[in-house]
Amino acid sequence: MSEKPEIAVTGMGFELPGWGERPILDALDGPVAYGELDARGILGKKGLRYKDRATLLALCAVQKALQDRDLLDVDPIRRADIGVCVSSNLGNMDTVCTVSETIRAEHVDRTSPMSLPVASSNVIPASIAIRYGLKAINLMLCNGATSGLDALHIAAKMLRSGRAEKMLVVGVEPLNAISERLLIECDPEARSGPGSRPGEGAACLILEPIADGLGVEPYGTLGGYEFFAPGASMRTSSAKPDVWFVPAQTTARARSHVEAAQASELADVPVVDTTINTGELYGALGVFQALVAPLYLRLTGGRLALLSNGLTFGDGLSSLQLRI
Amino acid sequence: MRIGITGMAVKTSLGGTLGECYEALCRGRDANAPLRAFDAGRYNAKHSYEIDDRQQRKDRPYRASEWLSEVIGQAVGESGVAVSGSRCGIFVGTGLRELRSVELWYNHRASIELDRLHFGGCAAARLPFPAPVYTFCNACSASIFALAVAMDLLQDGTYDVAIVGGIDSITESMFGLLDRVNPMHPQCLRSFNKDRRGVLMGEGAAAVVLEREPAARPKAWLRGVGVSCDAYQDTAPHRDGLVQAMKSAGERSGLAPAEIDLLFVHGTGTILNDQVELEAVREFFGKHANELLITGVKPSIGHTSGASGLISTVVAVQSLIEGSAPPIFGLHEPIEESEGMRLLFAPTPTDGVHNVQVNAFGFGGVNAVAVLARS
Repeated sequence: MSEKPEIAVTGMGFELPGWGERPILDALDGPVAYGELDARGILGKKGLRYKDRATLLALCAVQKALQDRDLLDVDPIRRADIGVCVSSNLGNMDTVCTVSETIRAEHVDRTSPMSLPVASSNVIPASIAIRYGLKAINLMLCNGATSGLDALHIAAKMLRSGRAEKMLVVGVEPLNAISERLLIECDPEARSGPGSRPGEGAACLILEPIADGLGVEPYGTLGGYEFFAPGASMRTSSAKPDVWFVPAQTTARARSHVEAAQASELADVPVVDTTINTGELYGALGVFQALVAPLYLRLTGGRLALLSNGLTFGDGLSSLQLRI
Repeated sequence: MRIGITGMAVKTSLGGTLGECYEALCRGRDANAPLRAFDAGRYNAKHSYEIDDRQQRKDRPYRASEWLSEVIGQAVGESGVAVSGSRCGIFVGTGLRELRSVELWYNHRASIELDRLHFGGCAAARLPFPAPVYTFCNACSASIFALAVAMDLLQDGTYDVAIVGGIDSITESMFGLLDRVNPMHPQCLRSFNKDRRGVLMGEGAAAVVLEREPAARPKAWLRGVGVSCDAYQDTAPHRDGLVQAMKSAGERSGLAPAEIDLLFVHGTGTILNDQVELEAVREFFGKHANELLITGVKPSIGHTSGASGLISTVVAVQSLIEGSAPPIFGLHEPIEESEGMRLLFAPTPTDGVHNVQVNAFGFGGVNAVAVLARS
């Protein structure tokens, strides 16, 4: 039932501050100890002043993904038909809060004019486009807990409708005092377990339609996507996967959904909850899952992964298949 | 395949309904007023275009969500579309989402919930069944980007019906930073006037219902939506990118530049933006730039950020239906770049107008252009 043309994952990169060069699959083995973000070490010194943390994280992941697809050290004209779809919910919240606090406490003249671009939530995809010369469709999706998988779905659609030749899909969330408070104070659902500790990071996938002369062995291809609004029946109609990536441990809603599915259509399917080790990645989670899944399938000899986001923070559920 | 607009609604500082807003625009009224949302003593700019619905001036979270829910309810009600039997998706475009609510949480200890910051619940609240909601935060062109994605997903058969919303309330941080970078401290927004001093923010919401091959005659056809990204600068516009979005819209609409009869500009009223937009218009339309009618709504309602493109779209459709396009409020001495162009000083008949273009450009160089046709 896959739509045509099929959409392949042809490049990937991620940034978990302090993680270094270790393979991402190691993040399934134990808790991630977050460290310093060395954006200058990854991106060089130029053009990083005044960038907020979410943008820096995203740029690091994008840089590695472009390198992975051999699109970094090329004439920028070759990147002009690439589009961007970023998923993030907490991206510029720190700037918005601190700027408004400065105005309230003192006067607007005490704010930095360099904060202006960051007051707009699309600063992340715009910064990516400007740095690498990406002139096709440029989208910022802020869609809550399902946002990462929704971004992959929308990006695939934009490729099919001819809005770009390739799409960079980036999931990113920063960790700072304000994002941490938001995740804890403003969560409408009681959360517990190791997956509810706030995490941070960025993941970037390069998507392109499978055509003659792709010139690279894809990591995998995207399959069917489903969105279930809160309260909707969430029985998945897709083929039985070899593994199910789902934040199973985070909320009572997520736990009961996973238990119900494992008692019926997804019986005997192993569950991988990446949030246990990375912490809550919120709008970045879906892209992070899609980056880990093909590597996991290769390691375990599987073919089909089901990725699910949501059932946390009051949101619905999105699911996306990924095949190798 | 044809995509029709079968329901629409707007709410702005000029009024809570499309009828009120359209009539006020045509009568040459504006909603400029002293700043009420925030303590004016903290700013240099002291005027804005607010939807003044706070009781005793006390701000509350989720005002944007309330308006979005309202306009979607009106648009769906008007369309009479049997949404319950259709595959339906909701696409929301916003520059500032519920960031005002986040400011109220941070500075005033207001209680907020994360799932209410991205419009999912409120956008679907007026529908009798669950539908997916996608919230695009694409700066000041967000709602036309949402329109582009919605149109693509109708054309490829993912949905039969799409509801597109545009929504923005003023945030302290954006109002403040726009103030911070503008030494001219404007009292009002004056698109294309020589004495313009810059942008002032407004609040507003719009919604349209789109249907594939609607059974009844639609209000107008959505012919195509083009987008582009400058990849040039954070906050300044770039002529090439603007022209590229217009070309893309023309190609997707199957219309030549000379077939556009009326243009709703983005027209933010800043020195640079107005100049670059008209240069792009001249480059794209060639000598037809002096033939088509040109108007814009921002001098009347302020810059409503991500909602502005869809508000212009709805007013454009209403101009076709009512037979008259509203003027550019406050236009008295147009800038040199408009020499020879037919900027509207007064309400102007639209009898000869078949196709309308709507421009929307945003921070980060994200450009989106919609083309509509008379039904």
